[in-house]
Amino acid sequence: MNDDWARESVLLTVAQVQQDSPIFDSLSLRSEIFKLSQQAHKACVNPENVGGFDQAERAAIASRICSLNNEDQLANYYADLIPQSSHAIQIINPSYSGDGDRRVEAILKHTDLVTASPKDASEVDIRKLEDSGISTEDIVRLSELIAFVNYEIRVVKGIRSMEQLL
Amino acid sequence: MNTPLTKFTNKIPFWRPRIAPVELDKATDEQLNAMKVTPSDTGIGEYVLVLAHDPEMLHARTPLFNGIMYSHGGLSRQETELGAVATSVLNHCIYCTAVHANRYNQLTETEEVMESIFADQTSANLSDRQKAIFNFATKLSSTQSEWSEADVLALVESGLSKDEILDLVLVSSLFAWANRLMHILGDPIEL
Repeated sequence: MNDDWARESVLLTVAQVQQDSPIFDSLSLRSEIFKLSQQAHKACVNPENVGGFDQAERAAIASRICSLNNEDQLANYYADLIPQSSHAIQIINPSYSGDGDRRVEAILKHTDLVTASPKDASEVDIRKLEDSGISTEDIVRLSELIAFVNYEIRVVKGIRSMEQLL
Repeated sequence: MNTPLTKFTNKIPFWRPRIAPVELDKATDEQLNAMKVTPSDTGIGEYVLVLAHDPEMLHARTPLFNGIMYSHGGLSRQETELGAVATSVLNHCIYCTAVHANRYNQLTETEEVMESIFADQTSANLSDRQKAIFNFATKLSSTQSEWSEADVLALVESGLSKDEILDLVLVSSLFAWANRLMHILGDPIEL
């Protein structure tokens, strides 16, 4: 059996799923989902066209989202992708709010709101991003980044919980 | 201009984007390619055109979405829709809730379950198995993911297999993603 899909999956690696796991058969049934999740992961953190968010900034925002969800292992995975010399490293700390950089402040405020309380987001929040100079394309890139990492966090937590309890 | 809907409904609204969608006649080859894999669906046109601003993500996202919603085996179609609704109600995504409540009602040929969920946004009047599914999906969706061992064991006691529980994790996670696009990038407008 070819288990490359499992070895290459960041989500299964972070959730520390072993091939002798009691839920491995269930995961195998959904191997295509884990392959596609890995493709989306690449499109999120290391895309061909990064747009207005370089790789370090993407990884830093992702790590911050994980910390806001108390998902430390995935937060550490993303934090490890950031070069220590990058200014983006500050972003991983949820108490950092941008230090007067208008663009970064707007991005982090939006990231925190949509992560923790998506129901409270409204049209005004999109206008705030535009007002701080973020392009339409980058608003979609940021939205996908925030939304996708929130997906990843639940998959990891759900699988971990299944492994422990089933 | 019509004001956005704020109450849950099983009638699928129009989705009005908050940002300019890609114009089809100006789309790049990569954007066209990413949009091609999308099934034609009610009101989804504007949404896909908005997401086409990030074609690489859209290209991976559409088959992933369909794979979780429509794969054979594991959780039934109707219980997959129930999981999608639970997460969408928690995140107050009126559009996603309407689409998936509508599908649930079609599949089950009843409106009582969704009416009961809309009335109090809890699982109060559901069967034990529906309750277990609704509660687990809701708790996995919250930022603090405050589910306990009891919530997982309730799924097992209700007769869900490991394959079904994994599918429930996947669909609930998928809507943590979908709600954060649909509810953030546009408004639901009554048709």
